[in-house]
Amino acid sequence: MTTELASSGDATLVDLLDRLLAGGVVLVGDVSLSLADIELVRIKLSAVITSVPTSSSLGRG
Amino acid sequence: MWALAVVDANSAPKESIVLDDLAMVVDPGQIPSETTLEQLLRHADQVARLATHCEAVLPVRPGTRMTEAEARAVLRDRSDEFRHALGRVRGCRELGLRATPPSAGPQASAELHRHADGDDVDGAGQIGRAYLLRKAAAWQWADDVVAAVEEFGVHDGVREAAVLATGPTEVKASLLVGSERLATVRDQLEELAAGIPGQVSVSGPFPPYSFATLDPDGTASPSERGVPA
Repeated sequence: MTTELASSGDATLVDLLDRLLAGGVVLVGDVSLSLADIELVRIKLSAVITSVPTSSSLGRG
Repeated sequence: MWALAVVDANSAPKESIVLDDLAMVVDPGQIPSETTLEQLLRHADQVARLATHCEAVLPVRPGTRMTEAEARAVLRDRSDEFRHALGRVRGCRELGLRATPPSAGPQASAELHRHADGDDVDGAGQIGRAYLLRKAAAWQWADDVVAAVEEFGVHDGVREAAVLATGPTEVKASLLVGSERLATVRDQLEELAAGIPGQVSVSGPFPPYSFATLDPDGTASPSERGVPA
């Protein structure tokens, strides 16, 4: 088996960026993150807040 | 302001937004619409510093802008989810493993063609067969790495294992590890990495980014746990 361990500094930065961009809890509202004109993260959360009877009638409609 | 993390109120920095036993740690500065790499790394540094003195840190996805009223509302409305999620990562840090397969150099190609030469096929068939053999070998390599990570996940000190991505070109995994066993587990993970063919790196410890999830039922789904059944 041949194994090359990557340069730890570069690997750590890449792995950190991976986790920053894909990890962490998503809370509310819009999340957007652009870097050098490249949109890296874009999350748009939307919710409909209504009463249970209304949502039931919407479901039947 | 930019949300950084949710922590226990009793360990929160004083500029945090506190509601009962929970606190939202924020960067109150003006966040420009165009983010730089330096700002992203500043976010990571702020969360990492929090992790050094808070027992439980739930990092928030970078780029989350909210007002103080929104922060208070989300702390109030999702308090049970936050408490459960903080309990999941309490006392833990994250270690990472990234692996890419050995490159199929000229020797490997020659080997594949030698196998193909034994069959009664034309040139296109040989090339196609060699390509499929390489593909199958790469997927087998990925399966073997995932199996090794899953097996490692039962080590003492490892709370959870999550395969973040798997494919014939790369496998990425994370381990949620109790802080008291962090050094030992990292050494053992380095040993595992040394036995995996290809280019393999171990990284961390990080705050538990890959295990910071919220679930209304208070339980992580299999996909969030990341380890296939």
